Amino acid sequence: MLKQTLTLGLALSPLFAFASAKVDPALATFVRSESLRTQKVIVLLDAAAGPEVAPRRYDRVRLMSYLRQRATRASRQLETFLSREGALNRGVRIRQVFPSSLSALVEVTPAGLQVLARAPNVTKIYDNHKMGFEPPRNVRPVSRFTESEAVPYHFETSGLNKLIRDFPEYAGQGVVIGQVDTGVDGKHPALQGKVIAFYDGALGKRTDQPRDTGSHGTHTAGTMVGGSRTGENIIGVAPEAKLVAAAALGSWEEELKGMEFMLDPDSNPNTADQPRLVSNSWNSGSAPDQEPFYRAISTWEAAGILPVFSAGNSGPGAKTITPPHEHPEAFAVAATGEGQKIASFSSRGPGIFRGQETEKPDVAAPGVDVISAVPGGRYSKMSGTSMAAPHVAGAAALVIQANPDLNPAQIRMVLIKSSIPMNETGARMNRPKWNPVFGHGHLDMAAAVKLALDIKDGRSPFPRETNRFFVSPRSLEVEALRTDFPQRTIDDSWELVRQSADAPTAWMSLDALR
Amino acid sequence: MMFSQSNLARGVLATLALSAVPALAAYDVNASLNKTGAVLALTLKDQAVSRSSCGAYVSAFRFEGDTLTLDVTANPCALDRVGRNRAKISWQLPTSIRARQRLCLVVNGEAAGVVQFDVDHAVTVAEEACR
Repeated sequence: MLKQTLTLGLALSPLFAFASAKVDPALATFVRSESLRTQKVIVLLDAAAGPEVAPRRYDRVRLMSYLRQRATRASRQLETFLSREGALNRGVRIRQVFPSSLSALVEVTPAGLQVLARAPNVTKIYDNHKMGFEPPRNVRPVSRFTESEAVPYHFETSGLNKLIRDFPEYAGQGVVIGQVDTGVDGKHPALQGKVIAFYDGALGKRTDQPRDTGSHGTHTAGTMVGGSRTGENIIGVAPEAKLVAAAALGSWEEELKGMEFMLDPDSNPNTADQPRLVSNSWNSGSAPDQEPFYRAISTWEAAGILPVFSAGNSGPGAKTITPPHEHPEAFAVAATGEGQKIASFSSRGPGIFRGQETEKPDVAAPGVDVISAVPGGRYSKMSGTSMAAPHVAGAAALVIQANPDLNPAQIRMVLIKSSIPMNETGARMNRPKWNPVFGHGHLDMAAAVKLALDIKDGRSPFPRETNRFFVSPRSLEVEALRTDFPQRTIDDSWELVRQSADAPTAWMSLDALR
Repeated sequence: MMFSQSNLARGVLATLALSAVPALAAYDVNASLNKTGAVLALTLKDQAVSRSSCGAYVSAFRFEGDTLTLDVTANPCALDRVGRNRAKISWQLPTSIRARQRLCLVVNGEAAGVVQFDVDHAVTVAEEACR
C-alpha cells in the first residue's frame, strides 16, 4: 500500500520528481552543456506494482520471469512518459534494461537528461562511470613449477594441502563457478577447456573465444580452476570445476551487463546454466551510492548464486571496505600472507551499507604473492584481495561438490563456521567472534569440506546462523533483511531501497544548475 | 634503472620546468630498440605502489630538439590488486635523434634521465639531468 501510494504520489507530482535530487554530480558538466552530444547514463528505475507474485528465495526460474515482467513494466512506463514529453528517441534513447538491478542503460543529450529526470519512475541517474583500464602491469614471472618444487605457502595456509591429502576426490567436479573480471586466456595450458561460457564486454555479446583484456582475470581464474591436482600447473583450488566468465570491467555499463550474464549465460531462463557462485575481484569506485550493484547482488543471492567479493586494498585504516563489498550478502574476503598474517593493504571493516555497519570482511584467505596463470602460457605472482577472493570461491566450489544441496546462505555459513577463528592481531581464538581485520576467521578448505560432508551425512547439525550481518542494527527494516532469512523474497530488498532515504547532500538537483 | 625525482600526484598532468635539483624518482624507465634500430620502446613503471594497479597509460607525447616529453596518467581502476602501474610506448625515432644517439626524457614534467643508444642498438638509461 505504501508503495502504491508513493508511486501514485510521484505520478501526480512530476515537479516533485524534477525537484528531487537524483542526478549524479559527475554529470554536472554534461548537464550544463548545451551541445547535441549524447552520453550514456545508468538509470535506476522503480516499477509500479504488477499482478505477478514475487518468487520465494532461490526459485531461479520464477525469479527470472518475475524480473523480466517487472523490468518490462518499468521500461514501458518510462517509454510512455518520454513519448508524452516528445523525448523518446529524440534526446533519450533506452539502450538496454537490466532486469536484475531494475535499471537501464540510457543514452541522453543534456536536454534529454532533464526530461529523463522528471520521469516518475526514474529514481536515480548515474554517470556511466569509467574504470579506465590498461592491461595490468605488475607481472612477476615465475618459472613453471611442479610437485617436486617448493609448494607455495598459500597451499598450506588455506588448508588446500590438507584437503588434497584427506579429501583427494574433491576438486570441484560438476560445479560451475562464475567470474566477472578482465576476461580469461582460454588458451592458457592451465585453463584450456575450462571456460564453458564467455561474455566479451567489449563486443557486448557471448563468444566462443575467451580472452583476457589484461592478465588479472586469467590469474584469478587460475586460482579457482587452473591446472590439475597432479603433475605441473598445480595452481587451482578446484581444478575440475568449470568456469563461466565475463570480461566486463570497462565501465558500470559493462559491469552490469556482466552481472546480468551470470544469471542466464545461454539466454534461456529455463536451462539451469547459471554458476553456483560468482567470484568478483573488482570494485565499483566512487559514486553517490551503489544501488545498481546492491540490487544486482541481491538478485544473484535470490537466484541461488553466492556472491564472493574481494574486500578491497584500502587498508589498514578502519572502515575501508571498498564498494559494493559492504553489501550484507556479498561474501567479502580479506587478504593474508605467509603465516596467515593479515596484509597491511587488506581493507578493514566494518562495511557501511546504506548507513549501517555490516560485518565485513567475512573471512580472510591468501592474497600476497599468490602464484597463478597469466596470459601467454606464463605464471606470475600477484598480490591483493583480488587474489584472496578466488581462494574462497574455489573453496565454495569444493563445499558444493561435497554437499550440492546447500544454498548460498548455507554455503556462507559452512565457510564461516569452518574458518580458523582469529582475533584482530591474528592470534587464534577458541571462540569465534567477528572482527574487522579477519572477519570470522581464516579460510580452512579441508575443514569446510569436512563440515559440508558432516552436514550431508547427518553427523553435524546445520550451523545456526549466529553471525550477524549488521554490527549494530538500527532499524527494523534493515534488521528484517536478516531475521526473515532465508525465506526473504527478492521484493524485500527492493522495498528496502525505497525505504532508505537518498543522501540529499550527495545527489544533484537539476534545479540547482539553472 | 632508477632516477631521482620528486613524487608526483598520480593522474595529475602538468609539464613543469625541469628541476635543476634531482629528488626522488617517480618512474623507473626501461628502454630498448628494435632490430633495425628505428623504433624505441619505453616502459615507465610507477615507483609508487597502487592499491588497484592497472590504469596507467601515456596520455601525451611531445618531441622537441633532443627532448621527449611524456605525460603518464593513472586512471581510477576497478581491480583489487596491489602493484605498480606501468605504461609503455613505442616510437619511430626521427633521423636527427638517431644521429645524435641521445634523448632527453621528461615524464610528467620532471627529468627522467637520458636515453643513450648506439649503432649496435644497445640502449642505456643514464641517471643524469637533461641539459
